[in-house]
Amino acid sequence: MADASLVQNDTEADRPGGPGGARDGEIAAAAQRRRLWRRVFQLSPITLLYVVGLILPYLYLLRMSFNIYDPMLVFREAFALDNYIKLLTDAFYLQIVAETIWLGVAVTLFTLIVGYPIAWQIARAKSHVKSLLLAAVLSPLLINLVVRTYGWLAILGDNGILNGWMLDLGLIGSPLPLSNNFWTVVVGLGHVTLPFMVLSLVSVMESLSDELLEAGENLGASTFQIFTDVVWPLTWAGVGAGSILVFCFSISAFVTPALLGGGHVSTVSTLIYEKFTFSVNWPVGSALVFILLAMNMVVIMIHGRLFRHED
Amino acid sequence: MSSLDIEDVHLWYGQFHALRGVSLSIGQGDFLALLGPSGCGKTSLLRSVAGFVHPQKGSIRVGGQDVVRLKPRERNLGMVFQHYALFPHMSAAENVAFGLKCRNVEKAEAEERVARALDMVGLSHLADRKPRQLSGGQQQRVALARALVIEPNVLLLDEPLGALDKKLRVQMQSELKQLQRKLGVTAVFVTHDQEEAMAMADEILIMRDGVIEQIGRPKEIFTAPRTSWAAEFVGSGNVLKGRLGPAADGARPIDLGPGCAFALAEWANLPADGEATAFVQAEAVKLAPANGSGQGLEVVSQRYLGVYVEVQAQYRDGVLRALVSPEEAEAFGVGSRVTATAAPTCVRPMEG
Ligand SMILES: Nc1ncnc2c1ncn2[C@@H]1O[C@H](COP(=O)(O)OP(=O)(O)OP(=O)(O)O)[C@@H](O)[C@H]1O
Ligand SMILES: [Mg+2]
Repeated sequence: MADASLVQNDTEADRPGGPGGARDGEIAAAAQRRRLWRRVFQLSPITLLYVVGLILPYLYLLRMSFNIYDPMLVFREAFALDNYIKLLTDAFYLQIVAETIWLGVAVTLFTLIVGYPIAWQIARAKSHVKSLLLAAVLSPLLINLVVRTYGWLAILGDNGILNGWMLDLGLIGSPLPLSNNFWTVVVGLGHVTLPFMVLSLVSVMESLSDELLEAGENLGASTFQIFTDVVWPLTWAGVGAGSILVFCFSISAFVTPALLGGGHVSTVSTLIYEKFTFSVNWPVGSALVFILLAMNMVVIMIHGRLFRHED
Repeated sequence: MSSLDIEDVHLWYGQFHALRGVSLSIGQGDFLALLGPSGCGKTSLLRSVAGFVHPQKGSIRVGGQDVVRLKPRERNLGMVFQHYALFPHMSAAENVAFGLKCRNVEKAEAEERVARALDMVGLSHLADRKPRQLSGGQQQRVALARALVIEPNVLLLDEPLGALDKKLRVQMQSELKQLQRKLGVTAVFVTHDQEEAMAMADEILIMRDGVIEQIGRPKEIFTAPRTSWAAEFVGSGNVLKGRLGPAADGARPIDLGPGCAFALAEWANLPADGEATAFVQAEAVKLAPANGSGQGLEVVSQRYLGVYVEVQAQYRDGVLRALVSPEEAEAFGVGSRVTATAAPTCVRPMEG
């Protein structure tokens, strides 16, 4: 309903003015204003939600990020860039930013490598098998975040299922450090983000016709050549879309790195949490929020460059 | 460029028996059209040759070599797909070059061959365009150049002109035919369209439900269909069923009721006496005004087909179709009475 009227409004607005004089112009301008207000009204619930839920807190944090930390007062009102300068020059913070990016890259690669063949199977499956496979892929999203995370601990922890089996079988003498490290976090995040990657890939793979693959084969291409020369370039857009979703989700994730990392994995998100709750350094915590936001923006811009539509 | 021999090929899709013993043989440089209604197995046969489906029984030989066990990429067959299947991310030239790249043809030689192939289909000036920047006819030519540049043993075309409009289709038909003849490449061409098959092929194969109904030169198919099904499918004339009379003047008349005077010049293979089925092309039917009202056949409709007018007249067993010139047609208006006949050599015996 709303969509239809928006479209209609556009076409009305685009209509060139008739032969009338200034009065017609005034009437047209008034009509245009009315349409504008109607549109604002139609969008107002979501606008309100955005302003109250997102923009206002962000503005507050933005202001906070220019204040100066004070151990006694929590913060001192100021307009200083000190927090940002510190975050972007201090090796400790840069190290954490680097680790965050590395985590995003690792999770993205993980979901790409695991998800690509799965997506291929789903895209090529018959429709009833397809819906089953899709349901299976989407299942991680149906489990509560905390439950899912503790589930991984139950499997990978020192007293977890995996170590238990290997100990029982005598394969190892003492538990392997499968949890509380970077790779545990990668697996945990990969598990949640896999659906995003798979769905992005499936949508482009479905539009890849069998005829193209057959044409490749007919022309003498090996399976590998068909993959590198036909399938990969034609699914590139899905790789890009999936990667950006997974990357941004991963670098912003908090619960999984905090719980599965067991305090050994520091990302910008866990650091923000730490700044706000433990060290009560709101100014630096706020500045970190914007560093994270900037990281997401940069990634989205890079994606826009790399995957710009031709024409 | 090789001959193609197919022998007793059977193909099942699960329970469904799609090809039921197809055998055919085409010589080097020949052009065969596969003609048949939708779902009769034309694509299945072509795909069996290309290697995308695997017949459970039978042999397929290209230039004498059995290819049934070879992978599609090992068969060296050029294929033009119904929707062209051009690689959308590659330019026209890259599409054409793909097969050469797969064959590790040296770069300079490949470039030259691609240029020559594009020139051959008249697209040199559009070499850098992507498929979506090309018209349907141009895409079709790229697909053709891509299939030909690898110098295939056999060229396979699955309704390659189906997506083009009528005018362009006719133009492409003659271009394709000329090119095929010039290169001397053996070609198998799938089509729905009788006229297209007629215009292009050296030989036409009519398929029905996975079996070959008839195979022959275009003229043979159109003037002497073997069965009434083939006659109806080709749609070029009339199937006549009636009792044969005794021979007179070297022909045996076939009784079709009053107003029809048809006789067969060829009856050696027909039963000495009894029911016979014969075919006569609509062009071969000659009409004349009947003398006396209530005599002869009643004209029930007239239809303009460009150069010809199709006149339909009611006879004992159905409607008889005749093609006459527009001037003649004036004498055979709807409701008028006519008699029909044809030269006995044009009335061909059929299997029924
Ligand atoms: N992959 C498949 N699985 C099962 N049945 C199939 C498959 N491909 C084709 N068929 C069936 O085999 C029969 C022949 O199909 P084919 O595509 O060869 O027909 P066709 O003569 O090319 O028809 P059209 O002119 O419509 O393209 C059809 O009845 C079709 O339903
Ligand atoms: Mg077909």
